[in-house]
Amino acid sequence: MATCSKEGVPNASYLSHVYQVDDRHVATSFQFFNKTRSNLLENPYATIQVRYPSNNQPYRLRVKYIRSEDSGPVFDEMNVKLDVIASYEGMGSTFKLRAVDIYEVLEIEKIEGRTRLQSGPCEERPEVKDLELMRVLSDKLARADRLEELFDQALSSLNLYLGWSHMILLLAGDKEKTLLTHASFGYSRGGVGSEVKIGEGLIGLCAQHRRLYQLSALQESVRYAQAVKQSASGDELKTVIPLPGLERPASQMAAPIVCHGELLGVLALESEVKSYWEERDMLFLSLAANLLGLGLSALLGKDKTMSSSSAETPPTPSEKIWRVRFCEGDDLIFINDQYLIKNVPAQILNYLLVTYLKTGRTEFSNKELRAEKSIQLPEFKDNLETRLILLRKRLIEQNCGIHLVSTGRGKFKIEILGRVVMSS
Amino acid sequence: MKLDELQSLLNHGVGMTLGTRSPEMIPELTDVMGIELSSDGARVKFFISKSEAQRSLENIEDNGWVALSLSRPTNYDAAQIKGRADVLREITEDEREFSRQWLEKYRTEIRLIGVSPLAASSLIFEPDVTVEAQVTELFIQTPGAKAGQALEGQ
Repeated sequence: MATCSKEGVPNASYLSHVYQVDDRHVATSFQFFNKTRSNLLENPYATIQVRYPSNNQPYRLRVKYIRSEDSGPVFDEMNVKLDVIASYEGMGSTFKLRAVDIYEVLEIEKIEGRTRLQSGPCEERPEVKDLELMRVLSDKLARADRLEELFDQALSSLNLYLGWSHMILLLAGDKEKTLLTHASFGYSRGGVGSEVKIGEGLIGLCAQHRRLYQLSALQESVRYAQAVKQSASGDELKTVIPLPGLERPASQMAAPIVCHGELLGVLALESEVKSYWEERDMLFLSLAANLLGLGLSALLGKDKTMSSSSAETPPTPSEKIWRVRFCEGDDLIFINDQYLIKNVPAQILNYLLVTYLKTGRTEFSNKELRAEKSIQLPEFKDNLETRLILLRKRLIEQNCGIHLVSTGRGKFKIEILGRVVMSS
Repeated sequence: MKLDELQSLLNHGVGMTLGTRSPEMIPELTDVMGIELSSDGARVKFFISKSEAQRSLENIEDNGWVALSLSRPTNYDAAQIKGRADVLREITEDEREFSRQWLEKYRTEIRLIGVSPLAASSLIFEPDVTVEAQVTELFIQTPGAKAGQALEGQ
């Protein structure tokens, strides 16, 4: 950006953000008092050079500074984006947004003759007509009659029809202000049970503000899960399931899953391609999140969560001994010294195994779990079904010889291949 | 930042942009492809494109004011050089070669932040004009508390 003082001395500086407000206005972030800002207060004319993200085509915007805003929608939008970047970089309050400076765009000049790249994402994307895609997507989600099916249908359809290759679906967790990963797509490590704090990183801020956010040009060195990992202390690290994430994300987007005014979760995407998503992707992400919200809300009340098939159960040697350690108070559970899960799902597994060891009983019901005092389910909207899915998936992911298998509506059994030894 | 640190920064393939202003005090920007700062920091020489920098060239001819913003892509180390241009001419073959060497360093820098060779080609061009200026001010411009401070000893 070039500015000029009233004495006629020019100043040039690099900007971190230029934000399009509308067809005739742009905004820049005001984070530090500097020469650019003092010049603008003396002489409102400036020239900003920007590049189209996907092909680096440069443009010059000749602008006039008209005002600064320290609140309102433009300020909020930029503030959240800076918060996300600051949280990745560990910069905290040093990156604080003081205001947004709004400019009227007087002239746009395309600098010809440089770019040799096509505009728009380079990768091939599936071409499906939008209304048809909306029908297919809503149809698939409407047909799901179990939560796991809903998650699987949503992620696989979004991959198939929109080409989104890396997705994470998180739902509101047991603890206040946390989200837990319930399903993911495109990662070698599923990360089921990994946790994100509401308010941290792109996903956490999306949940906090209940708004779709996207970052289109992240630095290659910034890792998606860095903020989450950095916030954990040394002790916590032993019980943290890593969030699935690309090594080098270049674009990230997250939309809140909300139904009846309640935050149910977040659907997040990432790509290694810079500026991968277009307006259409944002619309479809919002649509998918809304459909998931409706589906989740409808299915959370039904007791049909366990898979009726044990086909996913990996073979385990029958002689194996599973040493299960439940840490009361912390509500953590370990199997053969490997962290499995915490909070309510840990209480549930502890109850099931203790009951099994005392009585030999393997059949259980959701009703029984709801009545059990050692399982601290909230009285209102207990989300028992999602907690059982989380527990079942973690048991599969950890390749334990302990499995939960549906035996009918609201009923399930625990299958143990080997011998369980409990300690506390 | 001291002068020798600025010289070192310039050897790392920094990205550069030139600010000028018109007689009506309207600022203008153009990209710069190579810079040479004299060892005492008193003179600066840089290279731009006639076809891209028409307004900048008119501004320089009018009043000579130049502001060069320099930023290293891999770590955002940045500085600004201000001065009054007193030479405006066609680039020489030696200077063209100097600019090519700078371009190679710049390509290396932006490759390190993930810019592909094809994408890098959109960020660079062959300059055909040399501008020389008497330096009036040298500033630190790395984002943060020291941004805007004069270089130590200047």
